[in-house]
Amino acid sequence: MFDFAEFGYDFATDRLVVGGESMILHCHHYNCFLQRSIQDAEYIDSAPILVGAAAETAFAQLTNLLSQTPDISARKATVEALYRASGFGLIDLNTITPEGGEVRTRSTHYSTGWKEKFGRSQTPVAFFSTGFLAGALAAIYRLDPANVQASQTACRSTGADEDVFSLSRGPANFALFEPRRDVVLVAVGNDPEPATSVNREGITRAVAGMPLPGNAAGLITAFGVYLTRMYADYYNRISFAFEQQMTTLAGRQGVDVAAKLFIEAGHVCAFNTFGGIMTSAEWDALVLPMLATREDWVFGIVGCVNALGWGTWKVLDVTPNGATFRIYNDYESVGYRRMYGTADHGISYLATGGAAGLMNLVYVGDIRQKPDLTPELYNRLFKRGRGFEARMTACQATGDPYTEIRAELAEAVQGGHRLEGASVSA
Amino acid sequence: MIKAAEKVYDCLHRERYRYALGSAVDDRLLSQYGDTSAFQVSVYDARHLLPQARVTFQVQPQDGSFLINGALGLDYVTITYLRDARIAATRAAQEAILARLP
Repeated sequence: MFDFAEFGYDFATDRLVVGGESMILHCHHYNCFLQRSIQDAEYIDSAPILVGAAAETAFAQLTNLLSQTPDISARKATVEALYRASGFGLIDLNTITPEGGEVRTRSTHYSTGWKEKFGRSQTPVAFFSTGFLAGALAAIYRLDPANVQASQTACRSTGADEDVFSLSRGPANFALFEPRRDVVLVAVGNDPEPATSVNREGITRAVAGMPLPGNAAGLITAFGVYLTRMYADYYNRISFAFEQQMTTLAGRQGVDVAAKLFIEAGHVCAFNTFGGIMTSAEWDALVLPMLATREDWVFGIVGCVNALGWGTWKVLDVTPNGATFRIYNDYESVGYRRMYGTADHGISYLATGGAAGLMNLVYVGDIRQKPDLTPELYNRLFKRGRGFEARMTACQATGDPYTEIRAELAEAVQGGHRLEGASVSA
Repeated sequence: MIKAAEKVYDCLHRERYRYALGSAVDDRLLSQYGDTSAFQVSVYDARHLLPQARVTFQVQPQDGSFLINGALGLDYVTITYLRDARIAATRAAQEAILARLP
């Protein structure tokens, strides 16, 4: 059994670091939506990025975690246990050798989640698991990932009975990235926040300590979704590598397109995960007793957000018409700086979409009444009518001392969707 | 006693119900699932962090056919049923347990 609690949640920075990798909670809606957004740009060969990002993070983490474990069987057991505890599904590595092999499984987060969210797929979708297995093979046998190949040959999302992954030796058939550099986290500021009776730190500690047991299939069902404890830099790599390719193709317009896609993914995340949390029995048991006003609901969910490993969120002001969120060490900024240095534009897309999303849930969707979190409600909150728009007013990746998101209530645009975006430029 | 059963939308295509009960949940419900070879019961007490909080619990059978989420002192529980050939029987069995509570 792999127990994340042994690594200790860092409440000073609201991060969980395991084997040198920041691990964050996200649900299958976000995972699958983000991947599909990237794949939908057919003019970009995204599969090598998706696989390569997973190989990069898994290899780095597993190399670290296995450094004191010489026995191959024990190394494989640790990898299998971590995979399962993360909610990625089930894998049996007994069949693999230093030359590779075939891994068969009936449970993979992406295959299962994709089918639940989008229905049957025409092609395999478990790029993350493909890359994870490539990184695992290399880490277990101390190989150079540049000499490992991985592919998925069958996928349950297409109607197959199993997911099948093929591993072999040879020049990598996925993207290899420049090594990430160490980055210094910033100290969390002592910012004035509105008075509230909501014990946000207590909520963060309580939620971070809450057990998230996986089921027999290695999937974590909680708050009505499949949760994963995913590598922050997996999301960062696939997002920023995609954005770079879009920029190469279309210049600044490419950035704008990528920003819209990633902010939308943040809406999807907020709606499903924040919505699931705020309509759960766990919310009613832990948080609800402290909530008197709608503003308290915002403070309460931010207390929960700070248990997800995303960095430290603060609410500087909140009214029915808008809110300002200041975030220290948001995982997107931290990852960007590790990978590419200082950004020339704001890149905290998930935070932007998430901020608008939580405001929409509280003030437009009246989450207090426990509405069903249906696609119809999503469209009403994010596509039509009045709703919150958010923009970055500061971003740590550009050199600012923190990331800041301003969410404001906006009227519908006649005949079109509401617009949001990244307004920060260095 | 079940006062009301409200079907809740479930994005994972399971069937989920929120059962309003005649009285607050207490240990008598959890005692129904005391067979550790058949059920996995996870109890979480965060009152040392949040004094006003209630003790939460999850109950899941080994076959994963249903999942109960609730908290001691709340007057409802949520039960999510896996869609399979046994769903009607599973649901009837769980509702019978709730019905026997005060």
